[in-house]
Amino acid sequence: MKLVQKITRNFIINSAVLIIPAILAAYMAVSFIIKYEIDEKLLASESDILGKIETGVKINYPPFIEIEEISPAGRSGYSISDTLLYSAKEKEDEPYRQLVSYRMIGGIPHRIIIRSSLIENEDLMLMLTVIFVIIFAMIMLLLFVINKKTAEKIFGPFYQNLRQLTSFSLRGNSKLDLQPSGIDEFNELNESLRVLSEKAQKEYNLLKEFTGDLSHELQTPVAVIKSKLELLLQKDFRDDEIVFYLAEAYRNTNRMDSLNKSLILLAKLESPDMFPAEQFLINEITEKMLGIYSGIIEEKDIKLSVRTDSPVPVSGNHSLAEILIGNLVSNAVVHNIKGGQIEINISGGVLTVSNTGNPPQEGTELYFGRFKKSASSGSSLGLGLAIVSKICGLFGYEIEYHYSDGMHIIEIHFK
Amino acid sequence: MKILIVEDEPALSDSIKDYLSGEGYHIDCAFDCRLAEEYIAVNAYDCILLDLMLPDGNGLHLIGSVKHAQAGCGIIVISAKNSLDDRITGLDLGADDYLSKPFHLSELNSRLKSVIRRRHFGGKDDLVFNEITLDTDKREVKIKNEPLELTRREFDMLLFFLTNQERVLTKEAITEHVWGDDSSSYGNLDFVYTHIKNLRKKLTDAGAKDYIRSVYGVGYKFSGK
Repeated sequence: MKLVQKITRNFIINSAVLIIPAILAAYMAVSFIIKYEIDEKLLASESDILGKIETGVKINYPPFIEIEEISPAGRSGYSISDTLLYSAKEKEDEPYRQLVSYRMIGGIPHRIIIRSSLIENEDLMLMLTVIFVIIFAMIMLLLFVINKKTAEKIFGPFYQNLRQLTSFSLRGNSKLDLQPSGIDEFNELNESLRVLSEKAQKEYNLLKEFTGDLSHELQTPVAVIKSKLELLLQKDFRDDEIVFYLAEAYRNTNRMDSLNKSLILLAKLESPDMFPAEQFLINEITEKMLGIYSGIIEEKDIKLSVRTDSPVPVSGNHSLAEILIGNLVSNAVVHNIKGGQIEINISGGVLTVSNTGNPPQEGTELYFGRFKKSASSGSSLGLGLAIVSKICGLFGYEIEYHYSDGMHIIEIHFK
Repeated sequence: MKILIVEDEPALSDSIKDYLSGEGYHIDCAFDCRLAEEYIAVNAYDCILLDLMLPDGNGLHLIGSVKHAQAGCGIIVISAKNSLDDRITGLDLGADDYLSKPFHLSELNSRLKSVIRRRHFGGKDDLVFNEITLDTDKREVKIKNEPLELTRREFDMLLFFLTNQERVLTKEAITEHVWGDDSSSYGNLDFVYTHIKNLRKKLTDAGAKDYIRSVYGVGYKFSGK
């Protein structure tokens, strides 16, 4: 639920809780005042009537004024009460307020009843209540609208900032440009976010530089180790065990070397301006890369089929495209089974590489992460697809990887 | 033949010197630009192996001065900076070849020989080993004066062997030399065996002796002994 909605909902519920008793109280107050006024009027009418009777005028006007002699006299004073009288005209009981008083008029005890119909008053009350409700409803509506508008104005920069935060990337060097909202709490939040993002960006860059520097610094020692091992391998050892150990050390030094080169490449891919945009043909590069891996393809007895129709030039960087397609081909070869097959389909700007292989143990998208590899891939570095996805990201190529019918299928949509 | 190695890492410089000394070269080692300039001023070299990242600056400027003073001298640029820029600048300034670190010593040796061949004989130098003759310019092979058809890769492999005789060539070095730089990075290299087997068969079928020996777990050796 949005904050604005929450606030508005709270506001409506609380207002309702307050307004209902308020309307009730107003109703009661008004009805009390009206009753009081009626009673005053009844008393005033009585003294009026008494004055007239004393001058000898006979008054009887039921049901509003009823005067009759009573005997014996015993009661005196007056009382005011509500009562219902049957109206023949309306064929129902109608409410009245009545004053009953006992008076001596000319020495004879009289009972005087004066009534006032309450029907008009009920109408009045109804009107008043309706007016109350309308006024309250209008006030609430107005407040609701004002509240909403204010909230929108206040939260506008907030939501804008939120959108910025969502699209914020540590990789880009773009700074967070948060909108000031004129509200202290939000400004404080912005400031904290700005500091946080700058810190994170700095840390990220340091880490990135560290990886890059480390790989660069490792190159020389690796080169030295490699050369010394190569020299050692030239020696004539009588002991096969020594040669075996040397061969293992040499093989793993080469592995470290490849790993290092891949990491350097990944670090370099962080600065896209190092790679000029060019046009290239997917099929040309694919052919070149298949040439490099032809040896392994033959050795693994893999059936290769390549289908190309209407090659169109796509844009990107030539050497990165070589790495990209080379990695895909190598991936399809290395993770293949003996006697398996590879199908390559180039159509328009779309390259599809399908290969047989063991089913993936986890979600295929995980293979785009660094150092993710299946248990069966042995000496693979686990960086190939990470590099592929990085290059795709750099040039906005779309990449899809799925597994179906025993085939790993990777599809690249070049632009 | 006089070779100058300009490399600031003494351990690496030593390795190169050790490997190349078997080829009968006279080798000088310089560890920075200043020393390299002194050597170049005094001696005439056939080839200079030049590392670009030197303690007292980038070695790129040495290329120009070498080209100016010793026109016949070949230059192979070596750099840990595997950047395309360095490669292009180096080759533009007149370097003959470019090798990125770390490299196989056998690969360096092969490139060095190729540069010297091109410089001294205009590339028209036949490599002869007993009954095997390689025309590196026309890329033709003759066994006992009879032409032998080899695939491009088989030729590359044979040339690599001939430039590194009596040396153990690792499977990695062979793969990278024949199939390209990154080809040894992935998977196993058993396929090299098939190609070597084919090459051996072609050579022996044409009447050559079987000079290629396998070194268990490591690679192969071309040996006339």
